[in-house]
Amino acid sequence: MKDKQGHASWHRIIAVFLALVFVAAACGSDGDGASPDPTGGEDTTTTESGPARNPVKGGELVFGTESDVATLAPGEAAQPSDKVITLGIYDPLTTYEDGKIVPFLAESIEGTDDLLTYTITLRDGVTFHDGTPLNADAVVKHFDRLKDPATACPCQTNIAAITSMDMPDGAEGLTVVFHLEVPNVAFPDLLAGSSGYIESPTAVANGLNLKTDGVGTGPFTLAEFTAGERVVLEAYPDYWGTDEDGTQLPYLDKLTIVPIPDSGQRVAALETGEIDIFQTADSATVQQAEEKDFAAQKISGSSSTILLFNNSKPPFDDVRARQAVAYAIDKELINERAYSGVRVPSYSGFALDSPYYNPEAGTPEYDPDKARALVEELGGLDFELICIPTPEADLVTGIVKQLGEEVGMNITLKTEEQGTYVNRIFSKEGEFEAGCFRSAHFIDPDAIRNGLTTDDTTNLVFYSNERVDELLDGARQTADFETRKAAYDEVQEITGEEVPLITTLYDLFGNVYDASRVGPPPEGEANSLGAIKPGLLYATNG
Amino acid sequence: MTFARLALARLAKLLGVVLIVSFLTFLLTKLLPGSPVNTILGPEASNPVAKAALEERLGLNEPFLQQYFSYLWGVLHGDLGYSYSQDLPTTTYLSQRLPATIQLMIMTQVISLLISVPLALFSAYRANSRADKAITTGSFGLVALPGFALAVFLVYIFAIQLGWFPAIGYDRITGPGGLSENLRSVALPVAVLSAGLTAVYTRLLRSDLIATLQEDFVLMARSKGLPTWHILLRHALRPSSFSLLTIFGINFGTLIGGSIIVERFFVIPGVGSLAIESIFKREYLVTQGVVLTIAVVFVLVNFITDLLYSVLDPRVRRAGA
Repeated sequence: MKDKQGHASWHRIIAVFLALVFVAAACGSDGDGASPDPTGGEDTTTTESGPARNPVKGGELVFGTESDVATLAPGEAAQPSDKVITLGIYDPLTTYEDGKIVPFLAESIEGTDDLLTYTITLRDGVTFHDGTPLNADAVVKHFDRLKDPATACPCQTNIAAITSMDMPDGAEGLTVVFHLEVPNVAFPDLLAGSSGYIESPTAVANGLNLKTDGVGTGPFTLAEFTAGERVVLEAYPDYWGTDEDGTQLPYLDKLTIVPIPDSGQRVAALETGEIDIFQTADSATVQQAEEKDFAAQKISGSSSTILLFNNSKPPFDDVRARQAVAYAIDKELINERAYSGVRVPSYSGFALDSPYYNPEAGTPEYDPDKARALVEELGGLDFELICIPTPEADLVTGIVKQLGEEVGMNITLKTEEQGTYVNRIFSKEGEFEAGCFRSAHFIDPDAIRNGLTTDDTTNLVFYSNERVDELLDGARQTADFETRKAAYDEVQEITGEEVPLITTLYDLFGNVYDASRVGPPPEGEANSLGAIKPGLLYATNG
Repeated sequence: MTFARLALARLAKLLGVVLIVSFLTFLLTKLLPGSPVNTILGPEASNPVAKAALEERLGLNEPFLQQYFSYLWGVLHGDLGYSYSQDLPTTTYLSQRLPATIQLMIMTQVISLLISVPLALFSAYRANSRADKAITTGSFGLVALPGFALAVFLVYIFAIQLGWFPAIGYDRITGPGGLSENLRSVALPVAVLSAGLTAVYTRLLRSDLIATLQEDFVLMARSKGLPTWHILLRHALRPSSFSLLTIFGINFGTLIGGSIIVERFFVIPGVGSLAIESIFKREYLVTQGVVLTIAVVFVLVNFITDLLYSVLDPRVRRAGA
């Protein structure tokens, strides 16, 4: 197993989460998709250290989510509401602990020096909820199913990198060897996302609909799924996992998940005691709940809101135009006016505490004089900024327009229904000048590769720089931390200068709870937009 | 024209309307810019294998008219499409969601009528009295008050402060709480939906009643010394209820799909919230199925309303369809 800070890394994951606030539904999924993020990819998920946990076994809790479940299928589940459920039903093969990738359902994962072959040894004695034993056969069948075009998994592009799998100890054994098409240091990361959730092969053979049902090895069994109404998870008595004190997980006997789309009603339901905890991406809701003396766990930086430029067309094929916009944007002002100052401005896709973060690089900071000078040099700067019609997006783009016009730009704001907008961006026909987006950041910096590589299908900003291509390709083919760090440092310098897009603020996700009923939640799950592992949630009264 | 012939003529029109509606809902996916496949697959749309597989599944690889006729054939056989993200037929969602919506719809209509008819009778009989003015002003107030604002207010008072009713959720009658929990869970949504309707019904019926009460046959009844309640209920109410019946019928249709805000706010798993969820999730086939269902219910209710006219007023029958 490689150590992440030190060297490692792992995968090609990239996803573009158009979710939640700027764009209300997630596209792509963890482990799959594209990030137009210029500089980052490192773990930017930081959970504010909260009160100490004293877990108690037993009890029931009701968890409110912002939206209904989209899908529970391994390889597809991506939204926070999907993740909080699927992390209960399934165990990923690997996971993150303190920002490092570690084996989870796998007992070990070893890569060869050429990073072309990975060997996974599974935990012994683990059973699926239907009694089927976990073995090499289940893992191979899982990946074969994801690779099958009939599954139409959005993870296919990533999974396709697995050229073949061997079972050296046979189907009943615990060892699986993965052969990859190209060297990839980030492969273990892929297995930490929903592509690494292993489902029972027996259940699949019996025709189980994995999108609305699930049989995994996780701490909870799925007892009820009613779309738009509730999902009920019940403790799996034979679960293999224990906490550091040896207490068997999960702590809870039962966890009910209910979707509550209205943010005010989530707080009201917490007040009336109908729910005990809820997740939110809305800074105002976190603030409102804290004013009512509820506890809030704040998870910052697993994604950020960004401005996309079309680097292939005027006016933004000229680097000066992109720089001018970067100099014109006062991120502190956006933070104050749109988010009551609770978010953190971002000049890089990397977290401030990431080992790959380069403090010397980064996109330009607010400097209206430089912006004005560049606009004058260009002989004016007119462009159209497209976004989806949400109050938050209107507010932010309105501030951008105001700031731009103060330095002589002429910005036309346009809103477009979400589906049409997503289609416009993903169709890659380049029919936009500037747009808004949300981009997820992932633990491994390789996550930024596709979004910045010339002509990559997920390079949504049409950015192209041979040196960046070379650096990003090289960085995924080595496990040496220093080599990788040097490569990503240089990428950040180049993209900081060339500004293919602008990160504005790190997003803030919150888990708001009533501390008299719920113990402090576990750390925010990496790559999951604030979702937590439900097996580690506990009720204070047990 | 006999009642049966009238009904048949109306039914033929109804079929025509349903056919048009089915075509329009089918057009829904075609009118959107770009391909739904791009939207559903996101970045994966650049993978030709995935794209072709999904196009085939959605039937998008067939010629346009053929797609429509396959869709129509499916609809006639009870196949309203399926959810792409969850692999469930639309009919499954509808069967889960219709009970809550139908319950809300019926309770809202019944409660609105139970309150508005006596109020309107009283108000019309005592037209221009203080009580009438109070009722009129109150109705204006309720009509002007948006449902979501009333909802927030009611939740604050009755859920958070008093704790009488839940702020969110729907307990099915078949659930562990039985009928009492079920009624508690729909109390606030029904109150919000009824408030506006009650006001409208009261206003409509009041003004029609005032006109009817000026008619000669009412004067005749009065001069005969018939008791007031008898005149109001037996003589004036029926000829005054045409506008009410029209609006009542239209509201049945509106309530099935139009209580979106209330259903979403109170987390009631109904058809309105299904419609909005499927739109947000880009579930084109489910959206088509839901819109078609709402349209059919709407058309059916109006068909029944038309028939009721002829029951209320024989002149409608004689005038022909």
